[in-house]
Amino acid sequence: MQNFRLKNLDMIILLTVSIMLVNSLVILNKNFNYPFKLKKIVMSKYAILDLSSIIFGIRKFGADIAWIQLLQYYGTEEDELTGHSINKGHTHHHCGLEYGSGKYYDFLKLSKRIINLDPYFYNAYLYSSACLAWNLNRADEGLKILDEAINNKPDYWQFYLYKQAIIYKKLDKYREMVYTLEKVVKNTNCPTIIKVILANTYKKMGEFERSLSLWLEIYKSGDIEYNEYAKREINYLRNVKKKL
Amino acid sequence: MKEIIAIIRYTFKENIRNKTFYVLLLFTIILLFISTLLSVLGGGESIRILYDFGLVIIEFFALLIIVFSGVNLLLEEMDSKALYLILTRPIPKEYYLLGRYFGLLYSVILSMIFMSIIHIILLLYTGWEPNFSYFVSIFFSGLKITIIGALAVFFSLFSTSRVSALVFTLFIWLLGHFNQEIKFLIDKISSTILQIVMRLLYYIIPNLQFFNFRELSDSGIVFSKIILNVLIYGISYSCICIIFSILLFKYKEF
Repeated sequence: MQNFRLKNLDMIILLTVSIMLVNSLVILNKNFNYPFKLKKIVMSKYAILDLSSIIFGIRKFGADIAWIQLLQYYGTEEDELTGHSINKGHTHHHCGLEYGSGKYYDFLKLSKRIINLDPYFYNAYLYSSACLAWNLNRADEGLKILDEAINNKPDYWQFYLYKQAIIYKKLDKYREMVYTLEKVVKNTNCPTIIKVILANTYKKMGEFERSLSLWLEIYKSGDIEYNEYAKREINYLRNVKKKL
Repeated sequence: MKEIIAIIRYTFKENIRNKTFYVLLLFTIILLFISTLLSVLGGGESIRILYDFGLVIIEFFALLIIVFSGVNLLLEEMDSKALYLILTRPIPKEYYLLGRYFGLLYSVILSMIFMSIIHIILLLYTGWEPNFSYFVSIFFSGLKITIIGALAVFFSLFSTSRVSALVFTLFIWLLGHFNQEIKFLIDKISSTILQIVMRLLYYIIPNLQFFNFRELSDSGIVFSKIILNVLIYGISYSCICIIFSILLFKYKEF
């Protein structure tokens, strides 16, 4: 008799828990909108890595690795990437107004890889579009990245500001572009690359005082990537100021 | 109740005296420190990288501990015949299994808390501003681990060998994260039979993406709307696995 009662109790508990499970699953299926969509693998070279991040449920981790790979790619001399011998007369990657210039054909693909894995990695959109538009002179590709960003997060106002700045750049309206970038750099989340672009634009326009103050700000931020570069520019601009 | 607490204590002590447990914990701590070095490569995103890497490392090592210990939880005692000694005492089999499961969970959750403290210290050192979503992420990782632990115990009783139980559990972990993609693929399949099979799979396998707050926190999902149901889902799924494990254990002949 006791055995029978126990069996019944087991069944009652199992039934109650099952109802709870089914009920919660039905509600979750209705209300849970999975924010990530399956997208094409952009670079077959990294397919296994990207697929693993999706299957293991670590998209952000995968996007972070892709981000580091993008930075390493962009931080490497193009001659090294293509395997050609270093041409001394060629534009150097990290100097003066030509900062970050070059072809870097895979830049867009690598950026898309990051945002396909994590469409909510906002700084990746901002950084990639800025590099493409200003450093690599591929404004259209920069705009493409921002269009995708706006599509994924329409209420993130900074995307619109960046887009505006790139459009001004495309139309050669430098005054308007500078005005828009000034609004952008006021934001605390602004990536350092934008400050570098604005400082270089000031320099190009002969506004050395403004350029110097921005470089000082970049130097004080302690961003290791731009520390040496900022130091060089500060020295250069101080010398120019003295001569003037 | 007293019996269950005694078994929880015994399992906890057994786990923390286990060398593998310490090796895994030490390895995690080393990895957390290594991720600090890796975050430097992330330029302006160093805090984000350290944050994401740390959370993933904590979850993965908790998973490893719970899967390996969960599978061995009863099998080891059966092999060493220590189980017979325990079951000769007036302890109901369900109390024994519950005690073992909660003891394991207790030690894994404690190790997760310990790893999180180290992670938080590293994050604070790099200038991270503490936020609530970190703690929610850890909490839901813990809930995921609870489900996987229950599944590991169930498979250890259900399957014939340790390896198959281990493979089953890890396979469920993978499918659980791929569940939303399965849902997406169901609409693309033309074969009705395959569609039914996939739909069945979708409902049976635990949807671990519900607990993936770590990934979903930036996406704008209103978590407060679903949080209660996620909790009920996680707890009831684990309960069902444990009930089935108890039933299997009760009717198992030694």
